[in-house]
Amino acid sequence: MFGTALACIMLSRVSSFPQKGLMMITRRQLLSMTGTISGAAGMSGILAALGAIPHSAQAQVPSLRAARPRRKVLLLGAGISSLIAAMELEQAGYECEILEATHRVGGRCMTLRSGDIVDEIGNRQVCNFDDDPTLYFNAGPSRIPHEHATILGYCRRLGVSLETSVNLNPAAWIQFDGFNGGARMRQKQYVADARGFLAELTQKGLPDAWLDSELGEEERDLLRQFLRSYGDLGGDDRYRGSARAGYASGGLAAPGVLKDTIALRELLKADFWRMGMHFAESSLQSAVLQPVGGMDRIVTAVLARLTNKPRLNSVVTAINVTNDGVEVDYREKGEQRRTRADYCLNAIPAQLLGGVDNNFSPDYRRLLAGRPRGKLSRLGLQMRERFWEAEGIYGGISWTGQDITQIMYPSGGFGSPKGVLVGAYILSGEINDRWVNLTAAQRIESALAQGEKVHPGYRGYFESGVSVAWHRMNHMLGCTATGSEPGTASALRAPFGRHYLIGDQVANYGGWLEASVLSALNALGDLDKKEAEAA
Amino acid sequence: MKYTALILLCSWLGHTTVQAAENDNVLDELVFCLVCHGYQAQGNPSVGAPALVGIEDWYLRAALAAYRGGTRAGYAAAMDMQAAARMLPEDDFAKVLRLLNELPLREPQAAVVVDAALLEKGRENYAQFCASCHGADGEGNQILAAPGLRRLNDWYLQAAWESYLTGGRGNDSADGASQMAQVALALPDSFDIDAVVVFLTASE
Repeated sequence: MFGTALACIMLSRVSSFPQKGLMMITRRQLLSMTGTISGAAGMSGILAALGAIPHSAQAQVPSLRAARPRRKVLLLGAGISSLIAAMELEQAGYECEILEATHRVGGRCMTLRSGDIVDEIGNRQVCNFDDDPTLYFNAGPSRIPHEHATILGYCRRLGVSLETSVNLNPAAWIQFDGFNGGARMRQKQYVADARGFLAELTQKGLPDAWLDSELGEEERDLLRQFLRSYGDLGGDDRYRGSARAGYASGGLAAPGVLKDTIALRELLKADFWRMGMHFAESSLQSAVLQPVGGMDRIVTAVLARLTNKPRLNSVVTAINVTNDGVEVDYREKGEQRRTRADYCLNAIPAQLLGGVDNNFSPDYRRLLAGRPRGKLSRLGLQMRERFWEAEGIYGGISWTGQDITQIMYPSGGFGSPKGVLVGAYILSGEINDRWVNLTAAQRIESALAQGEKVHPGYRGYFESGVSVAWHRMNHMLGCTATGSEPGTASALRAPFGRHYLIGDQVANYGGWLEASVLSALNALGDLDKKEAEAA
Repeated sequence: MKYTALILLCSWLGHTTVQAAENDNVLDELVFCLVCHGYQAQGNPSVGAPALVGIEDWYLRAALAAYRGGTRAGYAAAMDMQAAARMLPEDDFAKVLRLLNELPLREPQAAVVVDAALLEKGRENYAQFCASCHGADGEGNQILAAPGLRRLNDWYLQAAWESYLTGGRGNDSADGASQMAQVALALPDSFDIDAVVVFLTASE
């Protein structure tokens, strides 16, 4: 239904620019687009989505007017925001030029496989996984929440196959040194006991006066039943353990024997409740999505549609915004070059723009300088056996209080001989400050030593590893800028002349492909408006 | 002539060099420095990397050695620099310095608002407390291992000062900067770093 309505809108747009428009949008493209679009194309939706979490309940899609003759857009950086923008612009008839400073396309949308280079300052590495496409490591984003409708819409449009990524797995482990004598425990055991005790406490502790004033007789009874069910309490409203925690013995062939409950004061000692226990109750719910074969399948698919491919190893050295466009100086293989365009979409990280000569206003520069460098690290380990599957773990995450923080299990390829684990995914700034100063070999050693506490025998399965500390990556030096003063992101989204800063750095919630794509669409909306006014 | 990433990869990754070449990861190698220090080596406060143009060779050489040797390690940007220095074979220091010298000299960024009284105070402070080592006009004195101060970014002068006061820098006696750390802690309250920075960076 929406598709039909949108087709009418698009056709009316096309008919107002008949010469160019009909050439640019073929019936097939139109069908492929309308098949995937469920939302209106209004820019207000994009802005709303950028303002909050990228929580685009409906896919946003630009509907650009056909370009006037010889209109050119320069895109700086070949991450997902630039690539999607270039694809839309080329489709509308713009000439696009993409300059990329590194040796590769995709930015932080990076999937490492055999032979890939990690260009981290001080830790250049080559990924030595087996030459097997199923053995890959998403060093950047690896998950797409269901609410990120725009990037999911692009996946459909681009023919990128998606599969479930298991995010929450109650059978996975928790391990915290101050808890349970440092021994690992299944998450479901912790969660069942925590809920049981909470329900029992609530049952005991609800003041009669409050119950009398708030609830009727029937509702009070319902509340008691709710708490019994929530905590798996006995008929006397006491918690004495639950099958939800997994049985100590038996369960299928023999009667199940409940595990002993963990003392409440012991439960409090596991920092699991601070994050891991609840993280999958947000947009990162228990099951999210991932492209089959690696996140960079999206990059590959967009790249295949671009007429003008990104120029690699092209480092921007100066940006000059003029009245009618943007001039950019760059170095490519030792040669200093200059290019110009009618518009510039700039995905260069804010922290690097401080070192690029420009004629931005002092206010704009101040905002750029106020964007802190985000810090995140990940490490991938190729294991010769999927030993975790023998422990009953298929996907999901184990959480530990050690520096590695998480061990993430592959959500596909179950039963294959080998597998790649995410052996560390470090979110804490403090830990990242330590971790970044380890050499590549030290990081692997550290991950193996710590992983041993979660999986005894871990080291014995290890074959090769590769790590990425995004805050040291060449031509990036940071990721997912968050935490600057409120309003910075929205102010940086505003165009400076015909120059637009794009990427997740201008969204209030960085680190998501959705945020990157929406930032690009936001810029395209303004560009389109300027073009309409000029026509 | 040009110092390339390929050279680094040769020394760092040994047998994988061929792979690197196939991936076309050959950069203009000063870019390896300039990604942090600004693409004209003008400095980038966002990553705490100071200007490199117009800085004395002897000072840069000593700084690189201190990063490599691990004696300059007390603050985050120093650790970033240690990682970078680790990738730079000592034999190639000279090449990097030569390439830096080929870059056009730029005036350091002047303070936006120069208060005349503050400038005067800075001039007096400088003459009283700094000039004996760093030279009458901030030109530096290699014999005393005191670098020139006129071409440093204002934010860098401030950050370095903080670093001396808090023990982030000069805390290792093997580091030439330990002398400066001692002086910084001994200066009287009448010393006004803001004023001195204005004096050093204001264009006259």
